[in-house]
Amino acid sequence: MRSAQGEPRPLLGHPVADPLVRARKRAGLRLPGSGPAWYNVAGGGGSVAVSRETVEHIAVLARLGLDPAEAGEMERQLGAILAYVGKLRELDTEGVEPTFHVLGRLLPSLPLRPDEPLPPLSPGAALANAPASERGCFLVPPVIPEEAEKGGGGG
Amino acid sequence: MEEGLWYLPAYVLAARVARREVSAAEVAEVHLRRLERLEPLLQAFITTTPEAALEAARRVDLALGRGDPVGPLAGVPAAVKDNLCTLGVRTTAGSRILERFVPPYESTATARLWRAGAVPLGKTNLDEFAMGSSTENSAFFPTRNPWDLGRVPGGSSGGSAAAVAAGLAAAALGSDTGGSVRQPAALCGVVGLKPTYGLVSRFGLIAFASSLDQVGVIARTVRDAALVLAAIAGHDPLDSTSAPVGPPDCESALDGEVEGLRLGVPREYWLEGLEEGVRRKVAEAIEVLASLGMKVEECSLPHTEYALPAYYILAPAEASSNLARYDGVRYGHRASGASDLNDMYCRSRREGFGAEVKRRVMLGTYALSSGYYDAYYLKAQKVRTLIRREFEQAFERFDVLATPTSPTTAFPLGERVADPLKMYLSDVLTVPVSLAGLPAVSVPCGLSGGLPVGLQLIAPPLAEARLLRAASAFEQATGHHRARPALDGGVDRR
Repeated sequence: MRSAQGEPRPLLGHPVADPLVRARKRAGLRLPGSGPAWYNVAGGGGSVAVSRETVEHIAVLARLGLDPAEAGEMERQLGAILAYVGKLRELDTEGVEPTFHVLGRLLPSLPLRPDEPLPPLSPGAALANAPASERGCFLVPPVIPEEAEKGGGGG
Repeated sequence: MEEGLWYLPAYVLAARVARREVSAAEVAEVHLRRLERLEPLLQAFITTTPEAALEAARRVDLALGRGDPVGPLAGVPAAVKDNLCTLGVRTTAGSRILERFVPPYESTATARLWRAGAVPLGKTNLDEFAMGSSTENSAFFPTRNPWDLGRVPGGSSGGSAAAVAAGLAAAALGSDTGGSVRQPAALCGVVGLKPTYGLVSRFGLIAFASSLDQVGVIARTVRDAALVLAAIAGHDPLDSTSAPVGPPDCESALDGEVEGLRLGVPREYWLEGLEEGVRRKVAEAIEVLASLGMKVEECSLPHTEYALPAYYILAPAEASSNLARYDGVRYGHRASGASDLNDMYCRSRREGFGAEVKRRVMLGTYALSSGYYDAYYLKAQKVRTLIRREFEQAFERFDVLATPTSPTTAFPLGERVADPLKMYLSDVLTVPVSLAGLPAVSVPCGLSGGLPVGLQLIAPPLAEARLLRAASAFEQATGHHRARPALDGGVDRR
């Protein structure tokens, strides 16, 4: 598709003004009808009950400090999203292998790199983004609250 | 100064620079001036790097002056999504938690882009941690669609798509987890290529959902996308999921024949309520492909409707695990006034993460928590197998599949912000491909109501050459990629 000058030329010799004029002359091409409504595949906008206790427990696991307003909003939104993803229960997946690596079949063994040392980051570079550091170490607030004397946070 | 230099394809710019018809410095200056003029309207960039751009351009010109060989992208002004780490250049992932993060290393994809001679213009806006479909989840500001400044550019690579569509950059890198390169490319009227999972290294790409994340390319022509892909693809020992293959030779493949290619049109993608203009433009596009000699046949992928629910378990689950690293210890935002270490974690994450990121971390933590793992995460991984197999079966009969990229054209800013589920549904046509790890490209296929529509082409794993050959043939036959937003007129009137 390249001329001697190295510039591409149109496949059909010239830009087609109305490709449909040509295309529609070809008989037998049928395009599909309609599938499910794209805005409504959630299936009726239902909700799964997610209790405030569950939301608060998950927030603790995720180390997200949610305020009460955020927790209330989360309760409602998680319920709607979980109702939507619950659609997967319609499918029988008995005996189906999970796909953990999508190219597992095509590339059965992903190679590990040779165990050779590479130049590491210098301590200075590794610490450059640290919110607080001291004598080559990351500095953090007290790990055990009782031992905190005053205002240990922030570093 | 040549008018419209900024809309030349990257391969033409590279050729002119290499022949010394124009200097790389001049190309960079033209783009930087345009960026300065239009950026206040578009807000496509979080960080611009004009000094680095001019420096890189001067190096190209010096090398050419000495007669040294230069890379295939020498002098091409390029933008990079701000979730790819760049050595010494702030990288935020669109999040407050990384607002002041300056990476001590360079991602493999960007390192290869610069090695090929591309000129770094800056880091583009995105939905926080690439979670979103409109770029409105950026912690900093929303990006505007160059075709209509009241509309979103799509997302999450919205900054990259807007920058390329507006002629600020000749090409850009993005990342695609569930459609984040293809959907914004469709909404901005440019080419968006998501390669096969593992073809481009993820080293230095800030992780969102590791089994789905893939670096992709946004450009104005298919040939440009092929050129950039060839520069960045190929095995990288620093990414353990990197496919052990070399970069595909897509450039020469573009010149091949498409006559006789078997094109499947899966009926499940023709959703009821698909915007009428999208339906019409994609139907016309398929007729064009038929007119080029492709054998078009309708087919069925019956599990398509299960892809989005599976994705919204898998991606948040992986995200909740990946984002555990943001703890305020080694880098990123740390809250002040915490009483102890655990309190510091919670306060830092609460202050640093936006609403959508918190929602997905919560959802993912729930799906992975004790007692729910089998019902949600494992179930979704099994459904993923069904979707992958269905594509494999389709590719026994077809060489390429064609669908719309997005169910709608660009939507107004704010329209879907209040309803997370409605925003998630923006990805309904791009997510199945992501779950199956397949290569896909969105190419412009005309305008509806003055807004671009995208045609999505899908190929089997590692068949990028065939995919881009079909896309290029379509592009050459129609010329839809030459449509430009009325941005310059719009600017003059302001």
